Amino acid sequence: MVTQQADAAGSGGGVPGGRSELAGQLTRSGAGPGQRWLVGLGALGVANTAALLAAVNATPGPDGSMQLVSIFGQLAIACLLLVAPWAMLAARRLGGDPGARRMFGRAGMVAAALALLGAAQVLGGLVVVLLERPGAALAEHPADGDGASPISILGGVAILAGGVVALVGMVLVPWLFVLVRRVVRERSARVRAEERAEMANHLHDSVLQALTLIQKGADEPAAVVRLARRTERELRAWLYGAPTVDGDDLRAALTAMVAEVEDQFGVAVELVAVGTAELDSRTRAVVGATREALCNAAKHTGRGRVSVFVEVGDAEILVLVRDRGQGFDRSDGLEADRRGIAESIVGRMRRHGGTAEVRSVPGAGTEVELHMPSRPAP
Amino acid sequence: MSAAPGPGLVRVFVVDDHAVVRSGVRAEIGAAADVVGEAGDVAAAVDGIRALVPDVVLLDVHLPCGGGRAVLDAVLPTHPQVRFLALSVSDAAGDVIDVIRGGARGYVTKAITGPELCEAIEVINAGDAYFSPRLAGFVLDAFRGTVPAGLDPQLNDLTARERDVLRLVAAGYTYKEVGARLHVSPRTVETHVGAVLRKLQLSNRRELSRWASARGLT
Repeated sequence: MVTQQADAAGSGGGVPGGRSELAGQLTRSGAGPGQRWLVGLGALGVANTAALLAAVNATPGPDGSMQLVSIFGQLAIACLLLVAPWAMLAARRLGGDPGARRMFGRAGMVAAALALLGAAQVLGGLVVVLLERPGAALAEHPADGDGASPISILGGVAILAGGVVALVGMVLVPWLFVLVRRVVRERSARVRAEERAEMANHLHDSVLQALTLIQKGADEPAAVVRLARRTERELRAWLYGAPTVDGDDLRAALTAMVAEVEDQFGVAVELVAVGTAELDSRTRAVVGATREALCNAAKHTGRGRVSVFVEVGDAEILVLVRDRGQGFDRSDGLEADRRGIAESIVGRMRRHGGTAEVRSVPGAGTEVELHMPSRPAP
Repeated sequence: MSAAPGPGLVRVFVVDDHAVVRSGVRAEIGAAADVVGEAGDVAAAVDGIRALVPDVVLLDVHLPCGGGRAVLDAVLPTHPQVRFLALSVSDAAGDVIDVIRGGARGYVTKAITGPELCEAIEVINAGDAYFSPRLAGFVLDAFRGTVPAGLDPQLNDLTARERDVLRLVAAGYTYKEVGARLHVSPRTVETHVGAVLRKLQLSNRRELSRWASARGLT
């Protein structure tokens, strides 16, 4: 029994070095073929540790230094035979993962540093005791006879602490890492599946329906164009749309209004909006006047495109509506259109403190420019 | 490939992973430009552009294996004379800002009409910048507010005139129409847009990327 412990002490002296070597092994991935021998080694380690524990308990009253040696030996064997194979298995498993590799490297360094610290503390304790009471450390029994020499307490605590840290670093941390990674992967897989289901739903409701309707109504080009345009708009809003924080601001109102006009007149409207504002009576007036300008443009532009630009600045809201249609001469325009422009655009803007300007060149299109102060006039 | 490309036609290379789009673009610009080649992925595009050295590349933003940005990064260091016009279905601000900052001289959506695309190619080929209305709106949005302290206002703010020009471009005006509205020559308008492009590529306003990733316009 004593021989075995002495052997253990011999290998125990190399713990710090052995552990940093272990760290080196851990940082290298996938070394050597097969993993079964590692499992066998681990089992051997468990058996050996159990045998050692039993032996230490059975040995009657070992003195301080012998107790120290046995703890040291146990720890070394436990580390080399128990923790090492497990850690190597884990390292091999996570070999391809740079994050895991970094983590193993770090854990190995911490463990090695603590083991060195523990060994240094033991040595220091030994020196202190030897200086104070020469020969006491090697005596058969401590002089005061309370059974616990300072060395055994100091060294034992240090080594135990080192061992605990090593166990946590080498076993618990990788285990937690694997666990957390698995949970994260499972969750992201579930999220992906949900997103996929949502996308399938959406495509079915919008695109698939539209394609069916287009096949049925292929002889009505206007309706098909309208349908395609609406589907495109919806799909775009869904794919690229800003997450609507506030569903009823100026931008949202304009987008909804543009969609309505597109559907009603079958024209393509390109809306570019910069900034947004809250909806109040004045911004509602801007939306109303823009709508009127847009409807006029849609009526006169034929199948061309209408552009709308809206900018909410610090001082004012600017709207430009532009079409490339026939244009019209305000003096001989249709009576209804004249009233529309005068009432719905110019009058509405003026009532809320804004201005409107309509310029139309026959043959070159019409442009409507609206200005509304950002704050109500005092 | 056009049988007998006329002299002086712009040599165009089309990069898009959808064959339908490539042939559609060919048909739309075939009369005004000489389509010298096309490619469907990043590697083929880089090889083709290096071999043919076209005047203008129409570049899809979404390509397998790296996207349009990868083509820009591979070609521009060795062939800075090749000019890129980004062509995309995407309205996402992040995509737009990314290719522009990668070196593309313009951005148009695939909804663009044939004549407008031809005009854009001409403008790009002349070394100027071409902004779609949407890109102009993006820029106005991204450069809103005052310049953050510590940044060069020359690069991080737009002049009043540049803002005027961008507003009209965002409202669908051509450069010629913008010039007429502002009583300047189309050449001056091009200069302003070029200056905005430069600011867009070099500005270190943090808002630019943060804004771009935070939202798209619908």
